[in-house]
Amino acid sequence: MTSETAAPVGPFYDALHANYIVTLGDKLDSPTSYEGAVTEHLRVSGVYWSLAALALLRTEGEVDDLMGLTKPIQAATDGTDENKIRSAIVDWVFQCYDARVGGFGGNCSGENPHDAHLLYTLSALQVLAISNSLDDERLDKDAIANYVSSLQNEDGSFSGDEWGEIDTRFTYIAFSCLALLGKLPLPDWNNSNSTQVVSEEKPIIDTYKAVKYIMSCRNFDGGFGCVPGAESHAGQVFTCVGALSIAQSLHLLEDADLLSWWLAERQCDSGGLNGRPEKQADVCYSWWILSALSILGRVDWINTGKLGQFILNCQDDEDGGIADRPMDMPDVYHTFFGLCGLSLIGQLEKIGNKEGQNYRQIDPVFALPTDVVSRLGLKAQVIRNGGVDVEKRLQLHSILDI
Amino acid sequence: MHGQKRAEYKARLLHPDTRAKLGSKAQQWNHLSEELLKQRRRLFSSPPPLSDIDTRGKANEGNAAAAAPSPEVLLALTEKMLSVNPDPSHLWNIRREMLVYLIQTAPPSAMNTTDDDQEGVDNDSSAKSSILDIEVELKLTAHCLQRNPKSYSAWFHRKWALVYFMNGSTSQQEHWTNMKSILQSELELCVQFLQLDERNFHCWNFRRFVVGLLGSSGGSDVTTTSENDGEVNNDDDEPTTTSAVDNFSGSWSAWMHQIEEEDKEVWMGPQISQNACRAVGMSTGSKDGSSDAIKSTTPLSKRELEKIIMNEWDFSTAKIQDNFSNGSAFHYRSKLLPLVLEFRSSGDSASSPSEAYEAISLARDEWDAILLDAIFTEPDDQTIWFYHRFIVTWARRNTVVVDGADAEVTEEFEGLLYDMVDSIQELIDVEKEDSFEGNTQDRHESKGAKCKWAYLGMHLVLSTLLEFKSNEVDDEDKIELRERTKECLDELMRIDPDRRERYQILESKLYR
Repeated sequence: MTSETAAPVGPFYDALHANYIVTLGDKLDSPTSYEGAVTEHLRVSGVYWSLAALALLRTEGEVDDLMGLTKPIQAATDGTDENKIRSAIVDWVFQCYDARVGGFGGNCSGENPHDAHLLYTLSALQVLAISNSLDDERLDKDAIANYVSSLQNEDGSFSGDEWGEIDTRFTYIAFSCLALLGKLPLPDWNNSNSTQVVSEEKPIIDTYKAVKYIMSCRNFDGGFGCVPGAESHAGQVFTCVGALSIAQSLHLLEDADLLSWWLAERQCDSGGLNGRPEKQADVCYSWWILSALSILGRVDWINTGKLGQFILNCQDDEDGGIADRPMDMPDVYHTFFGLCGLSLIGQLEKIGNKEGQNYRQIDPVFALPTDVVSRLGLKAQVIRNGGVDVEKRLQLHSILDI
Repeated sequence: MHGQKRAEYKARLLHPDTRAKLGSKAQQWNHLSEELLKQRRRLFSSPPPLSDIDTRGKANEGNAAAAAPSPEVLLALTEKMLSVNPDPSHLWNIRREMLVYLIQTAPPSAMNTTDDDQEGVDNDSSAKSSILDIEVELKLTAHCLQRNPKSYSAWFHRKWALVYFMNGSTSQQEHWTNMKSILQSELELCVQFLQLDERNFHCWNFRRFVVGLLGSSGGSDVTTTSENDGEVNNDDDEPTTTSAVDNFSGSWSAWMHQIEEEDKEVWMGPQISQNACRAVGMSTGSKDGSSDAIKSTTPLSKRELEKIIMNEWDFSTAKIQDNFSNGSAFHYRSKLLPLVLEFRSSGDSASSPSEAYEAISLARDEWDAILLDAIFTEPDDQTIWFYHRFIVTWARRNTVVVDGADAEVTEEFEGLLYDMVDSIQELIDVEKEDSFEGNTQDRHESKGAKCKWAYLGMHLVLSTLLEFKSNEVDDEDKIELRERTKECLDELMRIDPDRRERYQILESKLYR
């Protein structure tokens, strides 16, 4: 990178953020929490955002101690219930398993898991990955792989569940789930245009067709929409570029720089990034756009110093957490994606060095800490432009030279 | 939390009344949520749900949530909960499950299939029908979407209900007439939602979905279809062997045969899986495989298809003229343009010089009628310039015809490009004078430096002209073009230093 990232101005509230994340779950669990009630259906994703956010700030052991990943811990109390013990998160995740179909629901109510959906299946697997529990004997890898497989349509697209909503988000999720389970067949670009056949069996999904489907969602601005014909959206760009990256198919992106440019033009005067032209900046796009630019090897096409400043300006300096915009109410989703943004532009590392903290890094493809990706041996693909070395964290992936 | 001011939010929560109110709402929700899942489990616990008639019979007498579970009670519960929070997809799932259950166990008289395990259904079934009560679902989802216009699951349920309904009847002519009027009012609903938020991509997707259904809903009006364009009908005279639901997915398959080659630009894909339609037993695709209603419909004539597309084209024009910043409308237009070209140059074979000529003239219309006005009104709006870019590259691609470039076509295109250069230069001059006079208004944060986009537009046009001359020797024209391109990039580096990296790469390519 040629441009020097300017040092951020103002403090980073490490302790406040950690406390915000650690106490959130028990707040939402309270039967009188309105926020808890209206978000109960996506709790598994909420837990993933929390864990992944904390995992960037703390070591694996510390996260387990603070959150109770693999062991029960005492719940943070609001003063009414002194000795409430909360069961291990991993155990709760398995309660959300919908054995009827082989996927995870977003939550459970007593013995009743909510209906499985790809969205929550990936979040659940990501939680297990962070907890180093993917080899837990309760995890029926074949059943989950078959569930993912059953949701692929004839045109290569994926439905979110058996009710049939189609979206490119679900393609990314399908690829990521199968990669985490070690069951993703790769397209065989060298020989026939088909999905690689390993042993004599039929591949569990047709990755080749799935990748072709992704390409049919591309638009004139280089971006991608949720179905063929839909408008480009930065969030959708991440899912499509991420899917191509996991499937080692980035060479299909003709004129990748057109897309990188469109992404770079998402940066607003405030330094923050928006999701589409003429929209307001929002911290979550720090993730959707920077992850895509990282994969495309063009993070230096935006002003990273200004972006870092924007994210820091969105911190809650009283109670911790990061909001969508400065002075707004934080939530765990924006907290995670804000930290990811700081990580992807190298600022989190700089802050850590200054504060004597050894922060972990986020992987832009799998949205997991890089040490987890490395431990699991997950391999995606990133672009190297003109021989310029890719960032260190990306070196665990394979490199496509353009 | 999107758009929630921190100080106000926290202050609100400090108020004991607010806390109490929200607390009781939460408890109510949690209670219903638990109750719903329990009842569903009891209803479907054993054995397979669809033959579990006894449970249902008894349940009809109950009237409270605490009573024995019944599909009706569960439907009421989901309605109550979804009206408050339309996001949880599992609640919509339960609702659909109950709707399908009730329809599939309805008295056989109203069904087109003959299921013999229908005996034992209580006679008090006046409320049940073999067809989905579409109005109820449309009303509920409309209410939910007013609450949250970006709810994926509410939009999806609306699509599902429409598709399920379209497949659910055998009374042909009446059904199609009814369906078409429903679809027309769905387009109206889109108009309303896009008035509230013109960039709501969920709603734009829904509109494309409805248009897809309109295109595959069959030529109901026999006189219209036989009037002319008989060739299209004759081509498809064979009853389609694929099941009905193949067409009712929101894809634009009806228009695909209009395009000679596989043109991905136009393709609007399905939004609801055909596998799913089969899995939940969409009525016409049921056991015996009869789908008379569908087989007897004729495809729309070319004229009818054109009418639908031109209506969409006019809609995008109107939205753009309301506000030049409407990127969603411009995007839609970029997808419609190849189809409009197809209808305009009807009869010519693709990639013929006359079609190429028509494409350039369509591009010129877009420049004259839309873009010129737009760039002088909103010169710093990137939406417009991205569409400008699309028009230039699209026209450029269309200049390539079967036997290489046609001289007349090339000349016409170059003429358009030079006109663009003149107008953009004029714009830059006007804007610079304007800013010199200190005329600064409130600018949206996404605008960037003044004139940046005009320079980017100029750069695009100049480099496209240069590309045309790539095989020629460096004459005076070419040297001047290159100089002007470089000047644009230099200016961009100065006024937009954040993206300097990119401009440097572009400049290095200029002299390669």
